Amino acid sequence: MAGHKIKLQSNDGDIFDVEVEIAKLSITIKTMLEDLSMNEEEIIPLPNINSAIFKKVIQWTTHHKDDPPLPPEDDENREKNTNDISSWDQEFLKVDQGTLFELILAANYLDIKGLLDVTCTSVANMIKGKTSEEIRQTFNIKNDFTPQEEEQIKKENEWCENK
Amino acid sequence: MLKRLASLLRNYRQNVSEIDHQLSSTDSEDDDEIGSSTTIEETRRSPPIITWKLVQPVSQIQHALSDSPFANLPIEILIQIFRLLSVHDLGNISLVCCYFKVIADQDDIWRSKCNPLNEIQSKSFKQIYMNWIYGKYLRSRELKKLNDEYREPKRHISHLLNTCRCSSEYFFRAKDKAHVLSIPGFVQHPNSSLDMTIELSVDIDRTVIALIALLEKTSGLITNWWRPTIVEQMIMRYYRFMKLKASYPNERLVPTLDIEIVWQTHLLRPEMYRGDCLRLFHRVIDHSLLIDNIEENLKEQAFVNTCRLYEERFGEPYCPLPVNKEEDEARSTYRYSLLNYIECPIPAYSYWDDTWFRFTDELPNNYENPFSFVVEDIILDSHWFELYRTDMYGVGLKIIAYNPQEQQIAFRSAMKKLRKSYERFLYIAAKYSTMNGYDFIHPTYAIDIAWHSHMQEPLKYADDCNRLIGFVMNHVPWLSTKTTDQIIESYEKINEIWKTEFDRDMKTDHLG
Repeated sequence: MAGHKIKLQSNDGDIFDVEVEIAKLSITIKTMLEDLSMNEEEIIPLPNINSAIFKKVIQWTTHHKDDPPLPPEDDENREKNTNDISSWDQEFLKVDQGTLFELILAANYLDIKGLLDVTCTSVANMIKGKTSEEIRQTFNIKNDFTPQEEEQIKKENEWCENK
Repeated sequence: MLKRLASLLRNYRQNVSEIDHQLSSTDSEDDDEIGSSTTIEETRRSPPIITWKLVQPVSQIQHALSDSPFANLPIEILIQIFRLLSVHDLGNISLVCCYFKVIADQDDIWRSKCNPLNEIQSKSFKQIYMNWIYGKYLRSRELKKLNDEYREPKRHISHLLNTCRCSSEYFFRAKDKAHVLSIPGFVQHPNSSLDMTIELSVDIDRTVIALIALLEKTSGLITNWWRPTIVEQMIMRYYRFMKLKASYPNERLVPTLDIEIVWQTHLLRPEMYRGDCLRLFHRVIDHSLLIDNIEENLKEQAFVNTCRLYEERFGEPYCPLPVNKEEDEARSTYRYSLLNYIECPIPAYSYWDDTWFRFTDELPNNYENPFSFVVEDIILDSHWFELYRTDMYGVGLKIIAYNPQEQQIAFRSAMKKLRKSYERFLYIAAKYSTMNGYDFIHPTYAIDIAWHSHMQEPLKYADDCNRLIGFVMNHVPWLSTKTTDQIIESYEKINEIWKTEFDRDMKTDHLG
């Protein structure tokens, strides 16, 4: 069974040979193959993904191909400890901000839950503990509040403090 | 994406414009007339009102992000990221830009921070959360006053302060006493026999002994603990312990005495316990004071195991490990107890009390109380035993007998009557839960100790209540929003009803 490959094409034209089982970690691709019964000889186009990012995605899915399936996401927020990113993933995610966010978009488009979770956790970790100004600087965001609005929001935040 | 954002904003605007003029807290324990009758000298913090409104048009607010990597991120992903943030971080992210503020206020993020609701709410979950915090703040203030009263020379508020609050969902019950209502679990009327006509899945007799033993142990210590920061540390340890329980459902984990005390406070508020457990641990964590012989033998090993797991996960010591057992003089297998009136076999119990944790003088910066009870709840609960003790005569467990055999028989007999009294109480609660003006029913101390024992095992308690009376009776200690006179009046009313229903006086019901 292993070794059976399919062809995937990024939006800048490169074609990648990927093992089916690894490709199927992407629910999007899995759906294309199974429900839309695309011929496995055909080249499957991925218009939203460029080569560089796709290489990273393949790297991740290859490493994680034997992961046990994740439990279904329940409506309640799983009290996820945002520290538990495996060391391999931490290394993998040592990329510039732009790449990290592109990975998020790719994981979202390809519907690869594990990759989406770990990239989102990574961004959340970049936010934790920072003041609003520090967050703006980290992500190059403009402040569009008036001073009065800021006061109102600070007041609101006080009401959320749980002591 | 603009359309999605616009619809998100429409909902947002709707929620924000419902400014709460009266604070109607959605807490189940506290939503009667909060704040109306208080005569508080110092200024009270004002209720939470959201004043910030989004004024810019939808298309504008994304400009703040145009140079940032967040620019193309779909809203669902932003929400997924924000859900991982603490409340404190959400506060900071709300100050970054309008767009983030709108996202950070979304229901999807705040829903999991609130206890599961029984009623349909029109408020946003963030508003519900803020009301919850405010409710705790108010309750804390009111209970502080009550606590001060206890320090003063005795007032005989005595047994009227523990109450039962019956769920208001059951208004459909007929108010006319002439109708013979069939209460689901009561096949016969309680008066039809001196024995119990219903079955309780908790062993009340054994639990009462274990509970009194626990209270006797702690009553000596608690005065040492009622200093600032100590109770907060106890709450933190309790939270961590419960997280361990949730992560290791198959392990035997042994609580220390300080953790058990906080757990008791939580258990005696069943609705709160259930809501908090579901929110924080996604299931209701069970509890029992009773253990069997096998568990008793394994307790020390389980305790050492608990120490290890706790330290691994939280990086702090759980409890000093037991020292080599110096020779205790032959411990008698009996102790004088039930408040010095009767020799009881020393009950085997589920907590660890040989050594005590040493508390520090300062709290860590990130201290938070994630539960719905407040520090003053724990402190006031410690007064219950004192009150119970002074009313011992009333409770009927004062047994004068000269040999252990007789004592045991007398004890059994007293417990049987006490249980029977509790049965009648359940019956009354079911039948008359809406007759009383404000849905509170006040038990005697005798009934109360049976009730406390029943609540020791929350899952069985809920099952029994649902099976027998159709709803889970909520226990509301320290009713701070009614005056003593109101409480006394209500108590008399219930006594009238009791007399009519059972032809007995409620105050002496358990005595004969």
